[in-house]
Amino acid sequence: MNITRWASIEAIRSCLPEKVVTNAELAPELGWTAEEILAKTGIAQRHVAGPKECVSDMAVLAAEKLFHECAADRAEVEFLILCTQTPDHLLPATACLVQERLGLPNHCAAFDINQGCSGYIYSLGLASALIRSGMARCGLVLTGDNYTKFINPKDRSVRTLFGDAATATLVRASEAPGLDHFVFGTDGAGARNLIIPAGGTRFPRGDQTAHAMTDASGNTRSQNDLFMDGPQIFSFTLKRVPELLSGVLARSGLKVSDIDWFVFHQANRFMLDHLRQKLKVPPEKLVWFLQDVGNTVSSTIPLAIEHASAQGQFHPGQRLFLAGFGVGFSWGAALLQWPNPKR
Amino acid sequence: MNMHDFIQAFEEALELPGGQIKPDTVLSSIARYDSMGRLSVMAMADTKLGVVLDADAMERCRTISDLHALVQKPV
Repeated sequence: MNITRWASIEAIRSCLPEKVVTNAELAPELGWTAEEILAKTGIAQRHVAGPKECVSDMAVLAAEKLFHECAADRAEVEFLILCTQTPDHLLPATACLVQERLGLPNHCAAFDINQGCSGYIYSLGLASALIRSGMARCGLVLTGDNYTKFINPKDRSVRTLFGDAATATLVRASEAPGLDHFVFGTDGAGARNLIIPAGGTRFPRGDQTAHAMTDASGNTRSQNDLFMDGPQIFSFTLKRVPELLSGVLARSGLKVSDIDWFVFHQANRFMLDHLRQKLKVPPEKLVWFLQDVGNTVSSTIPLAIEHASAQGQFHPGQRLFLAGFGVGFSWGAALLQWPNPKR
Repeated sequence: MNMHDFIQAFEEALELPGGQIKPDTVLSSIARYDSMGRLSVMAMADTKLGVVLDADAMERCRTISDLHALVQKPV
């Protein structure tokens, strides 16, 4: 078998649902002003999928945009990895539905992975491994989540933060270094801190799970809704993200100053500001794409890369540190050497 | 960090006017010590003391004194 040396990102495109919810719309419902929401979260608006708009719909739009705008040939796609925690159905895998709708070849492998904020890194890690092992030469990584469908309208702890989105990334074998130095981690003890308790087989949805309660902070939710414990997530992040950076630096033999750009999971402004200071990252090296889209879970990192790339921020050969962390608890990081323009 | 400095740092983190917080102030009586306020205190402890506070241990603290003891000897 011919072992390929490198795998790299060739193109990224995204789909944001048409409907936008601004802070001004949320403010009267949640008892904060629009300015307070922006100050607390760094988010001014978020896109929200329509009632019949599913992850497959958004993912197909993102992928079609990629095929049209980036002159990518769908016949070349040998695997499709779709990362979501809000699939169209319990089964089959949403990736199978998307394979058919995109007209990808029948010899294309297609599977879902269920990860959230770390999911893009996990997906890229798998894609890179498939390519570098020689098992495939070209694959599509899709991310997509509709968390807003599981948010209680009266839960301001999450309603202000999350938005919906999908992205498509073409990963291909490359002669030059691309994705490398992956680091992963898991602590399932944190599972209860970011969870939709009901709807699986442990707690099937029913009248009891739909019963909403108001907590001490005045947020209302049922067992069918998304729950997030902010302080627990923050504590976990402070412990694990520095380990991600030191892990990638140790594997690559690089120093913080050798990294040109830091692309963190765009959780909220407060968390990213603090992490940046803690890790001694110069402010001009931190990539932001949060204010107009909110926290889009598995899509935040590819959205941020797509946006910064479109603005001409990255130059060939520059090193990007990518880090995702959250629901699970699950975390992952990697280095991406920015590719030369396409052939 | 002594109690005086801790109270000052706590007030700064929550953007409270100085002089209101005492060692026996009950945390649940401080309106700004909500979920976001806890994050601000965690960020302060991390920045000023290099201490990552455990969210469950913070939850068990009743007064400023308890929180001060926690940052001295984190779980």
